[in-house]
Amino acid sequence: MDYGFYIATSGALAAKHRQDVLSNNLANVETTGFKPNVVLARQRVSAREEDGLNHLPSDALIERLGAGVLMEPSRISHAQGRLERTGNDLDIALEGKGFLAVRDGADTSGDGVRFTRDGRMTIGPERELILSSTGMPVLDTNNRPIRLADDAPVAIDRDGAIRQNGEVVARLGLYNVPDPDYLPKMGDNLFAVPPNQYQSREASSARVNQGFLESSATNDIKMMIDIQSAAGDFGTNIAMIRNFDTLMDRAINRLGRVA
Amino acid sequence: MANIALQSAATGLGALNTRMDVIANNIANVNTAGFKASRANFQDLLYQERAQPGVENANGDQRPTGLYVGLGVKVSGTQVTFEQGPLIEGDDLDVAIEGRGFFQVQVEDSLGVGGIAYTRAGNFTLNKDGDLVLASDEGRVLDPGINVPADAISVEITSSGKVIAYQPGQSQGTDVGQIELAVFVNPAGLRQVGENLFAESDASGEPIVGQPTDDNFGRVRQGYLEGSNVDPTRELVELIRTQRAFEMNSQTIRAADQALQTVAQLRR
Repeated sequence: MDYGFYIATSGALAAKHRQDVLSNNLANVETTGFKPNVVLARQRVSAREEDGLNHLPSDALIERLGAGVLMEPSRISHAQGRLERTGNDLDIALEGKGFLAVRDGADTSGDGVRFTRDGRMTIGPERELILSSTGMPVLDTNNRPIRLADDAPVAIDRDGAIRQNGEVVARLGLYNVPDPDYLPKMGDNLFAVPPNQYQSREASSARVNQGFLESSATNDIKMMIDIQSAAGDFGTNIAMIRNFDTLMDRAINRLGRVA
Repeated sequence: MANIALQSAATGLGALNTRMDVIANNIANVNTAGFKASRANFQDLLYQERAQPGVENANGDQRPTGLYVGLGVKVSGTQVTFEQGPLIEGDDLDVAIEGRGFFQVQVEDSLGVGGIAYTRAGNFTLNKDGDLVLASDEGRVLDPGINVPADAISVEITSSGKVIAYQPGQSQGTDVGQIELAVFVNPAGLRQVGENLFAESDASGEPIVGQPTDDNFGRVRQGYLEGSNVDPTRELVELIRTQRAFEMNSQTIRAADQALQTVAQLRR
């Protein structure tokens, strides 16, 4: 069958994938601390090159065509989201690169540390600072849950120091990793931290803004346009498939017809 | 047919619709004394790992790790913001709390809150027995009870919550009771039960009872009422944003549908 038939199919599948990823970005346009995924495609080389087979002179023409398109692993764009004032003392927004560390009690394999940019905190039954969305404890610079001293109001400095009655009771653990673009997303606004990235984590110099939240970093207008354009690309590739189908139809049913 | 774009956009519509409901309730209560605004908290759903779309590789060795597709968004919960509302001048028996405390009122068990509920709405009045009660349709009695003598000309409430009644023919007022306030370690965990009342929950922790002007309890102001802390401008801006985001997600549905339609017409 036509080689182009498969190339067009790969184009259609890639466009559909793009639409899926982008629509998740758009669905999370109002999700606090959300970072959108970036969809990357690359041209696929021919199967012979991919599989490292011997070169035959007769393949040269077809190899120049390439072999369609392949999606790259999803990357995360860590662009800063807008800071929005909420006036709630236990809302914080990070400004600059870095993450809050929280502990996922359900994970017993390591120490269960997850990263997040979602600064909606609340106070747990034992006066510990927890995420209001998942109830996971927020960790300090020594990887311990943060426990408040008493019922006094909480003030959080720009560098992450938590104060009550003027005294520093704890410091928020703020971390950065060498390759944040590939941290696996777990849902619930959390990023998993693979062991190799976790080992090489560094203290982050992100500034903490009390009374603010970081809104979703999704650019809604761009997303809308990209989703529409993915729908268009999908349609174009399907049209190509039909085109090849027509060619084959003619080859089989007309050319072969005995007059 | 599995169409993730369609599903994600649908979860977006659902979540944004919930936020619209929350905003509508906030705006409806823009003039409700002691009302505290809520917000809908969003979080992303799970991510699905996927093989590299495009052309299949016969060897299957072309697949690096981490090609994830998200499945949309959900509302993780609503959260009440306990920002101080504005103090509005009111009647003699209106009492506003400046600070963190809550008034305690007696409620029947059918409300399912164990006898006592908490409120910031200090629009008090007297019932037929002279008890200080909330001026709501249920007339909830303040706890601990304060009884004002029938012949009292005026009632004074000090900033520390002492209630003094002045009776005719007496130069000195009579001490008739003490308003006590409750604070919670985590007020955001309180449960809203309607009637401007909040109920204690596992998340809020046990109430800590004390007198106004004690540490962290706040003080009371007679003749003032705490207005709703809903900021109409902020709510309207949120409403516009929510509505637009809603429309955009419905566009995603259209785009995803368009793709499906194209597939359906693939074979002529």
